[in-house]
Amino acid sequence: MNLNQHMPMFIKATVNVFKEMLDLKVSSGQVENEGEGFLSQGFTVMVGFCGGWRGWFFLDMSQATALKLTEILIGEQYQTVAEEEVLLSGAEVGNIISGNAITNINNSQPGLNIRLTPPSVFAGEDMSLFNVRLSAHSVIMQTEAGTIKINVVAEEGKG
Amino acid sequence: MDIKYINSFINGFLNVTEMMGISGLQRTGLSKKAKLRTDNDINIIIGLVGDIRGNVVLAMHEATACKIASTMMGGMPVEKFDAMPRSALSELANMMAGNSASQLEGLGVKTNITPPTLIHGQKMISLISQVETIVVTFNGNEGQIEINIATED
Amino acid sequence: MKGLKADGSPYKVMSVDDSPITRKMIKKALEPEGFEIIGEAGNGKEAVELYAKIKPDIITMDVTMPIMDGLDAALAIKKINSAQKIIMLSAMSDNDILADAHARGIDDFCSKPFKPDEIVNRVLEVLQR
Repeated sequence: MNLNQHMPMFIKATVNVFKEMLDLKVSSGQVENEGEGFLSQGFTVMVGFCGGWRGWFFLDMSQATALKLTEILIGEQYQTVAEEEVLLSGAEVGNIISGNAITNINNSQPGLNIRLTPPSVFAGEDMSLFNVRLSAHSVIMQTEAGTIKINVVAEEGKG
Repeated sequence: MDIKYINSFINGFLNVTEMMGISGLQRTGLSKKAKLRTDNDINIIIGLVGDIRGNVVLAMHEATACKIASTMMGGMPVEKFDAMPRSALSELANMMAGNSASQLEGLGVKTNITPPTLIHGQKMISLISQVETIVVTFNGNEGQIEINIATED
Repeated sequence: MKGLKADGSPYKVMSVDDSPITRKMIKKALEPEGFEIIGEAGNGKEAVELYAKIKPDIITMDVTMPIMDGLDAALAIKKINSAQKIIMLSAMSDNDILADAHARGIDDFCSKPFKPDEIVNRVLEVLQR
């Protein structure tokens, strides 16, 4: 994936979804080369993709931020990320961001036909995520609910 | 999920572990699991897109992962779960997924796989499916390994 | 309230999405306007089965769902009743997906994310056609 070309679409999708779904303004930092892995802030949503490119989209945040986002989405307060609604809320936000980004990427290059896996969520302590031999592009973004990070790894798919 | 498809994942796993010198693996269980889990500190996830869509997660404790990496490297001692065992386990998951995908193709089911993501942490909770997850457990010389199959039919 | 017909009775909505969070959000958007959610389903198969039992004025249907996806379910429902109003919801709506839907006679889409008044207005637009 030409991540230089495509990261802006992930950034735009994140800003848009946070604004439309969560009513949160997001200010974006610079795109960084992450290397093979990153340390999670405690709550990571992942959406895989295959097609002309294959890889992963990650949305990472602290558990406190995840709880705040859930409260905004559902209108109820939860105490811990072990509650299904918190994991599902994270999953849905990650799902919509990646769906929007990939829609734009597919439309920009007919024939790419990238399709997404269902979202998954991992929460824990001292949690690190690695994609060996793939380098990641990440962007740290600030919101009123906390710091979020998006991360994308990709390589050419077999179609 | 159709048992034929579950078997493709089980056979993919057994074929590849055999190739890597990880012998003596016995299947000890097959069950449906509630969506949230908190056990294993090493989880390797591979996504599937195509005729079958979902996620497959290979899960185990760090000690088991180190022993598997050691076996894969011909018995070389592995004290810490660092770059080398991470690479070995990721490759194991990748090959298992590829082998399973080939078997599924033989059944007329075409599916593409993502690269593996390895997640290493403590006190983890995960949600890998909004439908059901099938858990197949194996026991071997290195310890217990779980395959979590969370796919939409 | 926008969700009430001229005679004061509520428009009946069937909500189909594999994410219970999205179903909650749709409820939160539509109910305050007087719409009545008469049924919910988590996948296409459940949607078709539920449709045999209830009579919604409109169905909101997610595209990507397990077991049977939204486009297949919409097609199956339109075979039962070609006049049934269905609005597809999707986070992924690239040109190929829209073309595929169009080829099956499904043209009403509302993309995710949607603000509450956006979904209300899109649903009304389709209902009042």
